[in-house]
Amino acid sequence: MGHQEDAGHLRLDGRNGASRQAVAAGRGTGRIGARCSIRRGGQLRRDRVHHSAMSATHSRGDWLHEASLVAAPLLLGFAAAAAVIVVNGGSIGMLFTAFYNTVTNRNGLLQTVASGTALALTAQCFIIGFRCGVFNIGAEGALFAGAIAAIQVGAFWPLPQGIHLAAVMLAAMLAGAAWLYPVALLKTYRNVNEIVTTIMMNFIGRYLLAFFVMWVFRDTKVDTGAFSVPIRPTGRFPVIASPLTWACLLAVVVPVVAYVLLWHTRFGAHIRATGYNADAARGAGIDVRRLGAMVFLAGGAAAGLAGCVLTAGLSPTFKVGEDLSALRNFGLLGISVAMIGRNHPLGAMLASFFVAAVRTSRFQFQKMGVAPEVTEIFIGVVIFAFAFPYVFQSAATWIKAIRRSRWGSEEHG
Amino acid sequence: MPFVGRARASDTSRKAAVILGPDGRGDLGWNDLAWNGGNLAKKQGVVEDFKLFTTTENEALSLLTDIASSNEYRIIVSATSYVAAVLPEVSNQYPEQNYAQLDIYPEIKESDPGYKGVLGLKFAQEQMSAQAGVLAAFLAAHHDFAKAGIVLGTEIAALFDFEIGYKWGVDWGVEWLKANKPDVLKGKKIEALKQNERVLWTYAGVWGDPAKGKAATQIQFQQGAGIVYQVAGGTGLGVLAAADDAHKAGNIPIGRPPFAIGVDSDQGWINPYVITSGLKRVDLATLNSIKLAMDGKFRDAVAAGKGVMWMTLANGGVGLANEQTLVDALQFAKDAGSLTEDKIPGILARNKELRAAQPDWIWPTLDQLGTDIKAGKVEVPKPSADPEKWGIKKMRAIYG
Repeated sequence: MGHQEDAGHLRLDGRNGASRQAVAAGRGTGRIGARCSIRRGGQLRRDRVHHSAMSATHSRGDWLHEASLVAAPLLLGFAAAAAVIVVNGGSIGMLFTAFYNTVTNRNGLLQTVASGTALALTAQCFIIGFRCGVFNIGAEGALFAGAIAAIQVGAFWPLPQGIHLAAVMLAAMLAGAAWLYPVALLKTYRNVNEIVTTIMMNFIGRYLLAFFVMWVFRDTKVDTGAFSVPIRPTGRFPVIASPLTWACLLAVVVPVVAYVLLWHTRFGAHIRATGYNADAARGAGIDVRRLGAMVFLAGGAAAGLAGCVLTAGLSPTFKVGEDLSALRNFGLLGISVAMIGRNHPLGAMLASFFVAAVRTSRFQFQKMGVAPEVTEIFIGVVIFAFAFPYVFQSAATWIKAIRRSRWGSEEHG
Repeated sequence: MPFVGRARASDTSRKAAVILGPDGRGDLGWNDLAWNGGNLAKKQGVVEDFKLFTTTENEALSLLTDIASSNEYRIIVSATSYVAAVLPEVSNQYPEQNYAQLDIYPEIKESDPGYKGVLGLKFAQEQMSAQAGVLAAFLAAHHDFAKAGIVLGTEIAALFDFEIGYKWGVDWGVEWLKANKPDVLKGKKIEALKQNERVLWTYAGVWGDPAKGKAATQIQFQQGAGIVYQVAGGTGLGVLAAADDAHKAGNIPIGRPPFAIGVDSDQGWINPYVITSGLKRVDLATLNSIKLAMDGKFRDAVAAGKGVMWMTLANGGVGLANEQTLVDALQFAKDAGSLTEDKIPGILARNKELRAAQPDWIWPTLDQLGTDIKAGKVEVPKPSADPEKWGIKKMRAIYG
């Protein structure tokens, strides 16, 4: 596990890393120079203190460090949520009661695992991109695209048992990958910032799915609401106990596949190398452009699969309502899950069930008369607390760099 | 399996549960009214307590199962189609629980174990929409604007009742004027229009998006509509705002067009240009079903109505707004936290001014039409009830 948090933004046109000037101004400290250190200084320094970035060995101190980095924001989230509850007349105990009841209750557990599955998948989408230095927040759009494909193949194509579900999953993955391909092209050939394009694609995807549900996939036999035609029985994930289906296996399989891909294949090593330093990677002969495009495809496939899980795994109705409330926000929440999981596939897997449990506890809060938005506050504060150290770090290195350039060549180690 | 003979906690419980859809409260209509039903039940002492829940589509099953299995609530009232979709499964699992579903009769067969405990609360929404249409026609003739407008949510069969009822009402109004007050109609813009040209209609496609509602209404104003009926929940609040903007921008006094017509609750308090509202007494339906459950008469009502309880003009389940409903609505708005006490006198005064500025033959005629509909003398088309006889395509060809 490397410290990948501030991998720096990847530009596929080659203008990454420090300028030659900065390299020359390195002053023999062993670091590349002031400009580079602003972008990645914290990471480099931490690498020297802890361990080689590419090595997979860890010391006990590292795990403790990692654990504390995860625990602190969670505690902050608890504190914020508790504060909100107390200020509004409740008691802190309500927080614990709600979470406890959610996970000890059969229904709560089923719902948690069912929701967590989609989250684990969309988190992978973000993680694969992030490890390559790409800020892919297009999971939401790819999820919707995957849902369109899943409904088309699952509800309208009569395929035999056994093949049908596989076809639905494949179609969703292909649709998700195809969805993000334009984003990859724009980035590769025009260096269009992928944050902008993916956000725009998210909106397009959502309204496209809404259109399909209302007009193309519409179940005209139901006259009391606008729903899509239900997925055929052969195309559904087998049900364990509604709302849980065997789709939950994907929540384990896909993160493991992502982990193996990133740390035990050459392709993954290239991805991570590009994430650390695209110039060095290019110098080492890695086709950074093609790699950057491929992570979009892989991420899109994962998010598309999430769209498939939320339609062909939406037990017991297996149909989507006009406002898409069954699919909305899973893509965006996947990013938060990825952050909480320290941008590691397996960490995100655990984080996804945690976040799903928090969201499922909405019902328990409602039972106690507490506004269910408390769960959103909790998740929001946790995300904020996770991001804050990087802000602090970046600010610290900025200040140091400014001080150094103002006060001349006094060397600080 | 049901525990025959053993009393369940929910048989004596004095608590009710109300489930809303993902949009939750704040639409000053459907969802807020469902909440108000529970609120009134609590205020009147019918229940000890009522709990409000909101759910998204994929949580609906586990939420409903949780609530039903908890045995805590004598009745569960649902205001969302997502719960209706999973009601058959849950009611068969927990058949002694009482369930009421607004607007929909879920897909339950008479042979299902849960059949006896599920009540669908359906509304004769074409009836008061017809009255709204008649009002629109009268005002179009009196104030001389060309068309009436209607802005709706998503294009589902339930809304066809509103749409066609309104259009039918516009037609009825014009015919009534021809027969009874031809001098009012003579030379007016609406007289020159054919039967299927009088009403502009737009489906906004979303609920809860006031900006879309406002845009759709402004287009209708430009195309000659002087009154717009909103059937769009949260989106429809934009319809009301568009009327407000038009008056402010053109410095038009109260009592002159353009007007808006509210929906579900009496929305005449929102601004002084909402001349009436097509009331859909969701709160009354909720309250009544809760009362039935608390009095132990719920299952009898299910049996009597074959699973459906109709809310019509006759039993006050739908209707057109009047002074009394405005007073009730002001109370509702206060309870919902949307209004402060000091604003109430001003609102009542302006509403009086608005109604007084209209010719006084309008209101008795609307009442008479209401009476005729109740007596069965007049039949308003209801597309959702009979898609053969009143198919939407056929109706739109006739009425526009």
